[in-house]
Amino acid sequence: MWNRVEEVLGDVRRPSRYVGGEVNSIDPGQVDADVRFALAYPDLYEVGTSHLGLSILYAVINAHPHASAERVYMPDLDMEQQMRERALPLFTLESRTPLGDFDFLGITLQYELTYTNIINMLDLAGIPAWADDRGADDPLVIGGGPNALNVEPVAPFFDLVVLGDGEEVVLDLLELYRDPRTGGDRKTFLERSSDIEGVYVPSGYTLDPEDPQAPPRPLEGFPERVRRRIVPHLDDVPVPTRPVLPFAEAVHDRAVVEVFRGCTRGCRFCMPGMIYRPVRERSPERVHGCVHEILANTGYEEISLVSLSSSDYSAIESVTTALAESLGRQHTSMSLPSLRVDRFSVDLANRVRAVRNTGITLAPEAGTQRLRDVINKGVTDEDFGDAVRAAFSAGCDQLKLYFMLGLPTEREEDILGIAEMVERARRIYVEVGVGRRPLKLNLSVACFIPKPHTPFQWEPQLSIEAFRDRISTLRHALPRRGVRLSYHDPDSSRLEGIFARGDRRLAPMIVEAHRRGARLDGWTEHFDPGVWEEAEKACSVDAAGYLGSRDLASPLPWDHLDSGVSREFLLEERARALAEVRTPDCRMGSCSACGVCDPTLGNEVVNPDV
Amino acid sequence: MSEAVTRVRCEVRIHGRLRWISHLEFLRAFTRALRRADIPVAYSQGYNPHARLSFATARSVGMASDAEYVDVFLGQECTGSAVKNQLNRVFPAGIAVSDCRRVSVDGPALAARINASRYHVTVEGVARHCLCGAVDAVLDAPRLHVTRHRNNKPDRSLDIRPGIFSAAVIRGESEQLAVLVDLALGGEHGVRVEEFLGILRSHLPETEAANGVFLPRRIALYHRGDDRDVSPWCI
Ligand code: SF4
Repeated sequence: MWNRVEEVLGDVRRPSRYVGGEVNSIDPGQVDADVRFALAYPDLYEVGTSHLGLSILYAVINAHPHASAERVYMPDLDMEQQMRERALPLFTLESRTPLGDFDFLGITLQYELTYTNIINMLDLAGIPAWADDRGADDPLVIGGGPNALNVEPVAPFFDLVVLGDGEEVVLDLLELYRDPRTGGDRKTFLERSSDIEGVYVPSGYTLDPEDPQAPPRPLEGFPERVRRRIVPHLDDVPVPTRPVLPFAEAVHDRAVVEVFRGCTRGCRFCMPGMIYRPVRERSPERVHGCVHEILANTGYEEISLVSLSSSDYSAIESVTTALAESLGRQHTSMSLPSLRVDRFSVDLANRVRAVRNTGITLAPEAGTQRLRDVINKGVTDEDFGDAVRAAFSAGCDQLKLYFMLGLPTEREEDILGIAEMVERARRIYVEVGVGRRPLKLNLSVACFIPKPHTPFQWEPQLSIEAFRDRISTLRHALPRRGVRLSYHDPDSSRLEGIFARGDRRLAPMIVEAHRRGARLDGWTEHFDPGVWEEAEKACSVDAAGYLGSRDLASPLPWDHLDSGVSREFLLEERARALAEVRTPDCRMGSCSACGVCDPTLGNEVVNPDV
Repeated sequence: MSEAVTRVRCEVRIHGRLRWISHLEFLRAFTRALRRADIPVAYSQGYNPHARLSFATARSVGMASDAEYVDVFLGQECTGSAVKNQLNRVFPAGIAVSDCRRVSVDGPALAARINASRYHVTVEGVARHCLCGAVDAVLDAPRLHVTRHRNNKPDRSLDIRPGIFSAAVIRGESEQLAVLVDLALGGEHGVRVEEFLGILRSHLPETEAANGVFLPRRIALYHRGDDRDVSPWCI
């Protein structure tokens, strides 16, 4: 196997993506463990190596005395072609072991448009795509990640799926697998694993042919609903301070430390904001220690403090101030992604930046106060004005703004409101008088996709034609010069929307699209809507049904996957949205009874005075 | 930590699976290794300070090497052996410093002086007499034309014979056949080892040309002068 791989490498672009051997990756001599995991990211190496979730699992499993984990990514098209021509099975980077030889194959579910990559990787590995077709010699294929909470369109490809935080579940699964009473037999193992909190076994549930929109029904012995696993204290779980340092430049070429998990701002369109509740902050001491460890172990020039909204970390000021000083001496910079739209956040970003401040990215999401109240994005016109003023005053001359079109209740004035905000930013730029060069303003617009487990899960998604109409309304309202408008490809948003609120009946379409050549659909240069159209027809998929509005009284295909947030809360939030009433962040005091917390679990904020 | 007080020259080996990393990837890996090893590297002044390093030359992807040279400017006095030991503790298997010595801080850049490179090419699937015949034929040819593809420019035909200084068939360890070849590096007559091997292959009988496997490894970089050769340590 080793030499067969060597022979291919001279014929492919960027071969370093397939050789492993990176700093902090495990040594091939180390993998001789009882239980072997392959961890797959179903996209190219440069995307996959930046992913924090898999990096955590890699550390957790490799720290176990009887288990080892290796990595595998989606090969690029040229590599795939070579592998198919030479009948070379997909292998892990560390020991070049074919995926079929592993006990477990873990695949992360990050994004709907990676679904054909999953089929492709299984196919390249010679593992049957359908879980039902796998036998005793095949690995157990596990899914996890944000889309586990609506895994139905790909559920038939997985033997089991982990809902929620994975670092404890994976150890539970390991124990169960090593237990001679359960580990030996696939069926027994799957049955017993459904007793572990957070584990969903798709084969234990069947669709009712009379009512295919309803969630699949449990067979005997499987629970009615599967509850998401939640780690109560972030300080109790390991931090990957020895992350693999990729050779090929990764999309996020920097060290990351997670400062908190979950977010309770309550943006009504946001799935992560609903399915990762409550907020669990890491202690500042721990953050501080981890930053230094990770830099010492990698040599990265930049550290990113990540979370769903890093300026909301209650110890952010003290942590960044303390870090900025020591990092400056080491020629290391700090970044805070996902900034809130207000002056505090922008000032903070300016202060921590050790290198030159050139550009800033803000996401007001909607063009008017009214619509921002509907989506509960707590950004006022004043916040926006203050934020851009602060950025420009600090010398920033590039601004990137993110908006969505097609949000519930959107009217023409909301679209025009986006143009007004752009105009306002330009006026402020002139006023502040940085004025040497003209402001570079990038406006990025996406189509709103109703996501499961959010208050907008019942809402319709815009058709491609309607999206184009609204884009053209916006374009006409924008100044002719000085603004670059870009928008997501509406065809891919449509497909993402179908899967987001999809059910099991979509699985054959994914296999069919893959058969017709679809892969790497998340990359504009590879995405081919024509192939999907054919697959849709071949499988008689009712796309309009998936994209339309859903009946409030009927069950939804993901109702058996319990995020912890109650249906009542989502309905209540939906009603408040339509009434244009905001709901405050529960971290600030009053609980809005979403259903997640219980006496042992709640928001954990390290600095409650902020 | 910014003013350079001394310079160390590292001789680096790249082998095994890591021969597949590109020159750019090696550069980044080296920079980060210096940071992990806590070497007091001097930084350039200005808006975006960067570590002051200089590389002798690029290496093509897939080629193993015993002779990559990297100069590191230091902000503090340090011995070559200390730098070597510290770096070797943090490099992944497949990259190692084989030697490291102090050189004059304001001496010439290696890239400006190195103009020749020596390769050890192991050969499989070719009979010894065929290989010798091909090497002789290459050396006897007055001119050897190759075609170079250039980005956004028409292809160019080039005579590489002046850039082939010497070539000889040897029997290496475990009786393996190998070719030792010295080629011009950079400049007007610079020859890539792949180009030399392409020409060599074209002088082999058809079946041997098809089956032959050539695995080049760079074993030395040096300055080829009019009267004598100068090793990187003496530049
Ligand atoms: S239960 Fe209350 S406090 Fe807990 S996350 Fe939900 S709204 Fe916030």
